[in-house]
Amino acid sequence: MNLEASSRPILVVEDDADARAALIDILEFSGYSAVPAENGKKALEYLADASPPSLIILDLMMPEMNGWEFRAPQKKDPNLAAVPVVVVTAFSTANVDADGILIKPIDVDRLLDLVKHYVDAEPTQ
Amino acid sequence: MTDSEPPNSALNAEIEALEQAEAAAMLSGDASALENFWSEELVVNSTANIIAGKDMLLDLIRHGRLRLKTYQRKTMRLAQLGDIVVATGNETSQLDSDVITDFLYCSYMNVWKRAGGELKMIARHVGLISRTPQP
Repeated sequence: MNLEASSRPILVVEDDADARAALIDILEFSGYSAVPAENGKKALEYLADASPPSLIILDLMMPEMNGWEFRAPQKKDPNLAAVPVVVVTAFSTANVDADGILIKPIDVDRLLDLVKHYVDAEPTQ
Repeated sequence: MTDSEPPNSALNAEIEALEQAEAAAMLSGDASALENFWSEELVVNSTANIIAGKDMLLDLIRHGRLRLKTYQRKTMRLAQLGDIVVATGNETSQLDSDVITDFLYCSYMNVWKRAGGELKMIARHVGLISRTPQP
């Protein structure tokens, strides 16, 4: 368990309830704070009232607002543009503008390596 | 490549008993029993499309993050390949969760390997067939 992880939460944007709950559980159990959102629209609503997260884990294929549609306003927002984004997708050839990509099924070891890389490396707030 | 063959009746009974005992341990959240059933190298690919190993799964179970309310496993076919036995069939389950309350109907494949006289689960894959909302 990583007790020195950033105090800023990781935002998990995933429409599949099972996957979302599992990712939140794994991240929290690994010492990170994590917040769920069921699509891009819900994520933007959350971000409008919250401090920037330390990392966004973003599914691509979602109803209402998908991952590509979420990225446009996120990158334009000066408070959010610098937040690293790790995209989760079933398509290995997906055209994605992101800091990292996780292909489904998600290997937990690879997930936590990426989280450690982006979250633990950030300066203490 | 060696052809697989149906296991003999003794092995058949041993595996079926193991399959049911392991499922019972999952249902009761008995991490100590599961630790015995599972190889150190266990790899599980779950219905949540997440691949995890033994340590992470046991930690989640021990801390109540992975709990089942109902769980039934029906083994439909066994195949043996040397020290490896593959068991496949279907499972119905319901998480003990306020967030996810659906009944899940899944196909599964468990891979067991005999090492030091004992059969240990080395791999498991679960695929969602359908989900039914709780009435």
